[in-house]
Amino acid sequence: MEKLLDIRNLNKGFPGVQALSDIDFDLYGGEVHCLVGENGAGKSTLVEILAGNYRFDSGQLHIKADSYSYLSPSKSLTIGIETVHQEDQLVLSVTAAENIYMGHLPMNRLGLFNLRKCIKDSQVLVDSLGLHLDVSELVSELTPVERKTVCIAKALSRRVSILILDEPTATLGLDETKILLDGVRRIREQGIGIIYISHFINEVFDIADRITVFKDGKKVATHLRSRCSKEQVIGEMVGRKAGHIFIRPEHKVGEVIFQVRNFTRKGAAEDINFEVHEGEIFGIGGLIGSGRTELARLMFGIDRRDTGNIILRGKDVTPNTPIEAIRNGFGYLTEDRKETGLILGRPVKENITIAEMNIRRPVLLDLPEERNQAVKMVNSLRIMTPSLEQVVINLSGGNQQKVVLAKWMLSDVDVIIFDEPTIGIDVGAKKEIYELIDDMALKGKVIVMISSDLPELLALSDRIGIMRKGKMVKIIKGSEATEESLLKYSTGV
Amino acid sequence: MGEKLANSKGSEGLVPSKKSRAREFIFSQSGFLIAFIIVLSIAITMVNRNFIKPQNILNVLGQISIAGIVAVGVGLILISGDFDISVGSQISLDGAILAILMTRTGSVLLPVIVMIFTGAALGFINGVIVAKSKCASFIITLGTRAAYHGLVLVATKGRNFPLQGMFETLGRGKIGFIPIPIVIFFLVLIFAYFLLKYMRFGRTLYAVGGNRTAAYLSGVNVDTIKIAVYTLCGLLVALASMTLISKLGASYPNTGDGYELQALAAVVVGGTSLWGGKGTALGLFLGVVIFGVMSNSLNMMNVSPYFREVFIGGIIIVATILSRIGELKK
Repeated sequence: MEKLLDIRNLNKGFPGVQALSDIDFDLYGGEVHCLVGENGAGKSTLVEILAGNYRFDSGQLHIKADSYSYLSPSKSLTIGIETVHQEDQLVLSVTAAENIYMGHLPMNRLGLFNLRKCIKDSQVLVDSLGLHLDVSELVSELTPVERKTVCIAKALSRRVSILILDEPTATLGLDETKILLDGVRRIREQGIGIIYISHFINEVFDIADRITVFKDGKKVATHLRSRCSKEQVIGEMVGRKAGHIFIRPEHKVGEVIFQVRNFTRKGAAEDINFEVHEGEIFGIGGLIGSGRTELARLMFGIDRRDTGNIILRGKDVTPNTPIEAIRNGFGYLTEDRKETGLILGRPVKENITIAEMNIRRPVLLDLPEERNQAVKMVNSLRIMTPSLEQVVINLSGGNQQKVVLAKWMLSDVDVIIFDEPTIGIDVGAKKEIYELIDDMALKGKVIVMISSDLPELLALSDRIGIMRKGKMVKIIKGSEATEESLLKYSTGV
Repeated sequence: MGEKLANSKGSEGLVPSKKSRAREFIFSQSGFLIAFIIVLSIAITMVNRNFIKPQNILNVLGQISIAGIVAVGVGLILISGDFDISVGSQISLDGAILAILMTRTGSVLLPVIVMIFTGAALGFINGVIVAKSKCASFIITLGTRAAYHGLVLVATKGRNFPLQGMFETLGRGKIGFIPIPIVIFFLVLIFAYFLLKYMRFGRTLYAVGGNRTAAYLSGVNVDTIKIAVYTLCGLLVALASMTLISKLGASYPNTGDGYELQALAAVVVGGTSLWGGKGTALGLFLGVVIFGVMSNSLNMMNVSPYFREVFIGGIIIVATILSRIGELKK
């Protein structure tokens, strides 16, 4: 078959991180080339370059016969590169057919929209994928796999030679995945080259012709599917152990002080049970979308649960709202500090004292006392800020995260749920935050820590609960876990 | 930029010195507004010497004090990230109820009490709908604006209610040489300053306006705060309406027309962010003053009053664009 894509020595850096270094990658017509790697390995950056959203710094990019120094979104489309993103980009309120032809709707002779032709053509397109779907239905009425089908059909409705599928099955069940994979095989038969990104190793071995492994922005290897094993690929994804940046000091683990029982919200997280001992850090691992954040939100009373309760030192403290959660001694460090953790336009001081203030509920503020509290927090957490009145938006990521942490430390909460505590933070600040978390555990706080950063999860957790598709499938001891075993349970190999 | 900062200096550096605070103030929005007022006043005085006379200054303050009271209410809501454009209709409705009851009963105290409750209720209704529906407050209060105005017509059947000499002091009286409406306006401003700076409620308004989700996840009862701030605005509007009716000596079905725009214009000029989370009592005051000085200068330069609306519209647009530019620069 024809070689559609040839990338050599491609480099792309962002401030503070080299996202891709010296990447070689190629793609032939009529093949499925799977791209695997952990979060942050550089897969998405490559996708964005091909979709024309990023420019690369150096290297060669050949597509068919031509060479390109960069792609713009429109150039990428003209060449015939179509990307199906992980999140469905559909208009829910119109039919599947109109979504498929969105942007180049068929017109009749009067220049008016021809709905009948649109439905007919898109039905043919969907049928050719071997999928059963009535395209005259509204997208809002469709199931997840049907929506994904619409996304793929939408890509195919244009002249496409390279199709990029970014985690198409992340939200699908096992049966649905099978249906979708059949569709992908049919597209391959049409001679289209497919770049397929997935975290699910079984699925990758089911569909791939070739598999390329990325790790930390570098290409580790490209294999023919028939010439490699799952264990080998997982090993390459994890790579050699990097030196631990943090080792938890020896500590005592006491009695069970915290229990989560039967937590369920249908479709988000189901039948979750675990307990935390005094002095312990309980890690939660799993892929993005496996229900980790959903579980945290349930525990903090943000989303309504179907069943479940939480016992802290023998007392039922199950919260129904965040306000109740905070009064019951919970703190929640969300995964997106800018959107949900901080009030970016307000000063450091106000962000630190807000939760404590809502527990105590005074009518009048004691400004000198507030300042003392904030100063104490800023100094003990070593938050780098020119003044307490500095608006938080001007601080670095690490210092912003410390402000969120300070908010919960000042509130003297008993239970803290961390969701990606060190996301987007430089190594130095990471280490400081690990020390703070460790210190809180030693002081008898219950620590539940969600993380996608496997070395971090391994370094801090006494035990790790692994989530997959909404369930906690396994709880393992931190000392016995390895990146390989975590990945195995997360992906269900 | 972190290294040279606070921590090496210990806690001393974290609390700004008087000098640096003064410098900060000069370059802040309020400092800019004060400078603008001074320049504007000098310019107008050069055209017309009467401008700077004490009598005219009291005149300006007198003209803006009622809109100023409303602006404080609208400003507090805006700080919490929402709008209330029904305040004009609220003034008319509060005023109609006051005047009808006064002419019917011949007493003053009872109608005033009823009216205060009405004002609170109108604000409360806005607040409950906005908080519970989570819909755009601009549209919700556009709806209540029409509804409240309709209620005025229902209550008055379109008639005017002259007070026939009752209840004159509040709007026309003076304390020393200062008209009472000005005194009320300043008391309201002091209240707003105190509320925003020293009360948890005020602090929470900033938090909710700055990032509603983060505030909620930090234990703020967002719905209660919204309802409370709308109710408070309703109370301030009732106070403004009372003063206005007293000053006019009668209630008209359209007494409050245009106040929502005047208030909004003053608030925006004063640097309260249209996106919430920012604004101060001083800013509100300066915004009101700038607005007043500008309309006064139009009068003094004999510009037709018909241009007033054009002028108000222009101010809102320019101030919004300027604050948007400031926001984008960050």
